[in-house]
Amino acid sequence: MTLERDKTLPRAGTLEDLAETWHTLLGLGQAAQMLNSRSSTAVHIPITILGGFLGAGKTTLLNNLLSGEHGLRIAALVNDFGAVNIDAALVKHRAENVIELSNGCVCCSIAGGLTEAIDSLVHSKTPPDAIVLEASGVADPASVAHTCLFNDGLTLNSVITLVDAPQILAQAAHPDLSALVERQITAADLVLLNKTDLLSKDRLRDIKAELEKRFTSAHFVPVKNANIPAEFMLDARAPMSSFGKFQSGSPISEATFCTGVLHLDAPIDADRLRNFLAIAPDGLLRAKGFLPLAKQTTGIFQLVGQRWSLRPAQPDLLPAEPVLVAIGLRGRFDLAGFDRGLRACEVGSRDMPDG
Amino acid sequence: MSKISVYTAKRIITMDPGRPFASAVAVMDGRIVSVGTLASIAPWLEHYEYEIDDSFANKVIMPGLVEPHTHLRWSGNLASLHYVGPVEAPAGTGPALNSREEVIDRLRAVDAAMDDPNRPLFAWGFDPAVHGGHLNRHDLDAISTTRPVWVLSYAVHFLYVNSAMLDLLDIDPGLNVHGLGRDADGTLNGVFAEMEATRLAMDPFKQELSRPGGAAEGLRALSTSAIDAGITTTADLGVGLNDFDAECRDYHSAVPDSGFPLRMVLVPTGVALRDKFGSDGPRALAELRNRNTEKLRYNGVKFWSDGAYQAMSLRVGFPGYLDGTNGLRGDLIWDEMAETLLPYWEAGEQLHVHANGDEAVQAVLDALDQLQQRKPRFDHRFTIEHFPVASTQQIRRLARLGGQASVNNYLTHYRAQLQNLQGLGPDRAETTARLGSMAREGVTFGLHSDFALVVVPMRPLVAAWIATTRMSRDRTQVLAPGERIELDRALRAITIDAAYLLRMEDDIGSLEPGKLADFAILESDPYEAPETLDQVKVWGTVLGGRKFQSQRGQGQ
Repeated sequence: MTLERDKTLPRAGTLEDLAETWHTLLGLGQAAQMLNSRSSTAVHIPITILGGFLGAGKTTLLNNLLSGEHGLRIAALVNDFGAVNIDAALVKHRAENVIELSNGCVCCSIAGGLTEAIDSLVHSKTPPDAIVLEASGVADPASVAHTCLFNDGLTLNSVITLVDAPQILAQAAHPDLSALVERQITAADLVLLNKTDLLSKDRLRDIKAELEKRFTSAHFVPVKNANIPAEFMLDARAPMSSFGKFQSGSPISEATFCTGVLHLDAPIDADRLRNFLAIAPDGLLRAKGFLPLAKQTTGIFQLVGQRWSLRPAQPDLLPAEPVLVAIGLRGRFDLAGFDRGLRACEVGSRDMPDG
Repeated sequence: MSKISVYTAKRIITMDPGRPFASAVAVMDGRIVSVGTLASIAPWLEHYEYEIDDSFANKVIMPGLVEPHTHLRWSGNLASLHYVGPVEAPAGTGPALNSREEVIDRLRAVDAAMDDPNRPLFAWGFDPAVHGGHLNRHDLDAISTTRPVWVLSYAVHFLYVNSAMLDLLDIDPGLNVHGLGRDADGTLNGVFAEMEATRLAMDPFKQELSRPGGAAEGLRALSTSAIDAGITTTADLGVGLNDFDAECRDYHSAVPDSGFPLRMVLVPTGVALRDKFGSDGPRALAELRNRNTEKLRYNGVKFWSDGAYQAMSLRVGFPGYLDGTNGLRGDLIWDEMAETLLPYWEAGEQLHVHANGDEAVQAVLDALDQLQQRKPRFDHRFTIEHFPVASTQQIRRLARLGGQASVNNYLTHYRAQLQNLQGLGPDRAETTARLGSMAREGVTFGLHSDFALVVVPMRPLVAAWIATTRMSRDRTQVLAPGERIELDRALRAITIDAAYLLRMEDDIGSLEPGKLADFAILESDPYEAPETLDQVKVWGTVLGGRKFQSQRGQGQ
């Protein structure tokens, strides 16, 4: 149950790495001073950090999200409006640093400062359902995430890194790029291997195997056109009805992903759960919902990639029907097996959870 | 009657082109009386009481180096964060520690040197791959069982704390979060891995970063880096980035102290002046100058037109970055740039405009052109700050418009190769910081580090070396050889020309009678081995006649 159990030591730090951290710390210093004087807030907006090198497809992903018919009010934070290609028919209002869309989404520029942009969303009269932040192509998404999370109004939903599948091995081997690519991959909960339509099945398999060998704790998901369900961006506190409900026939979802709803009623033992999830179930990408705990309490459960959390839930947050929703890769994720594994974590269960 | 002190040296580099070298300099009341040889200054010594100080007899004296663009107070926030990394700290704020024992010893020494037993100890840079694996609460309890201890790894992925810090954090026992390290019995072991877990341990650090008085302490700590580099004057190009009043207060509390080794020029941001004084900014700026002293001066105002070089958010013209994207704009709205600058221009103020990319430079030059048409000015010293990516045509135009440049040319050596691959493309990367073109067109320029917002060391002699060699980081390539400059011009860019950028040339930047007695004391002569200028050791500085010796061993 120690940290090192499934983690090898990171590669030795270089001057570049330390420089990145120094930058992060300076950003934290500024954020701390800026936020110090602000009022606190009761909102908890899930934020997803979108990382990845230049050309990996971050803008395509954002364009998909902003114009998708998912019914969610997503706020995208971007460096430059210029690259975001929003259908003119969808634009409701355009101002210097904000584009409002008729579907309830907004796209905000972070030119005036990231801390400022986030704080104004957190304190807005109608906070968004979710925030997606596009990190710069040369940024370490972990650093960006740390700066964002200095704002108490945010919860970390996930860090998603996009990589250009046909290019990634060359980039990861390049002496001047490998450290950056490595930082971007290791920071991510999910690494989307994008542009797989440009590769043969065999080549894709080889690339994925090579990456998995090098980045043992990363979670790689092959995609085309940077497609990912909008529901990924939500956390457990969002209405259940909006989660796991896929647009029927949507090309994003059904071909690649599958979903399931689990009802657990006996209390779960946290130690057993930790053991069970020490190695993430194969093909499981995202799970969220509620788990019954000992002493009639309930926990909020979140999982993305290999990262999960279980927090005590405030009673007033509990839905009428506490369920757990899971999204996995079609053909890889074994929903029934996951259900069995969770039930083996129930207090007093005699089954051993098979992680 | 005042007394003269005469400093002798192996060589004195005066930066007065009429009399470039000397071997003795006479100082009275903190200012220079005469420069020459012991024989040539003799007439002065007949009229005044004097003493000869030959402690620099084997060293080289230069004018105190001038760093025209830093952010000391902002970086000062981090000075309470002790460095334990495996390579020299990126901003030059700490030496390399190569073993677990060295890290533990350093933390123990820091603990022992802290007065308040309850104040948490913060450190960063720990490298599990070099320092023998992860730390945990038991390791850190050996530093202190009472003082909370907090150590961040070299990348922000791991955080280690001792038991006292765990008590302070008071983490909900019902919380299960990925990365929250536990001992075999399930109790927390003081290890926090990855974002969600490290966030749980950030609050004390957040409080430390906004602790009142912390930044002023940090200023004092960072000013020792200036002594190490031979710097006696620097400018904060962005007072009010966070909190105008607090920043000014910190400078006024730290700088006047006779033990503070720097003269400071404070350049407020246009945004801070607008927020605080509305349309009264120019008048407020003029009034700030009533507070000026020989050590602390307000001069000019600062604006931003685009993003950063290192973060690849600068704005470039056709064909953009390799992937077709572009960077960020700054606080200046480009279409309204001249209108925004006009009140300060008309009031006769000096304007500093940050521009990293050539598209931003073009917008800034257009604005300067419009300003000149609205009210023609001579000697306005409009300064483009950073100026790494610009065309030769833009440099010629800047010269014709009477502008000058404060250039971050460290980027040529430290970043250009990397930035080429990361999006800038070969042409703009190789020609980063076109000092040769500026010299040919007659643009006055100085060299700066932007310490510590850009991660390069604050070492003007290194900047001068880069300016003369344009050596790539991997030392295999001379980048755009036609943009190299002569040693003499490079030394001007860290002394008299840098002083000129700050309107300080009457007082500092060269060794001439009447100027302040600010010296950089070097262990060797830059003119004897210009190819190793970056390795010239600095003994320390003299500020207004007072000596400040570098504490970095023999100087560095």
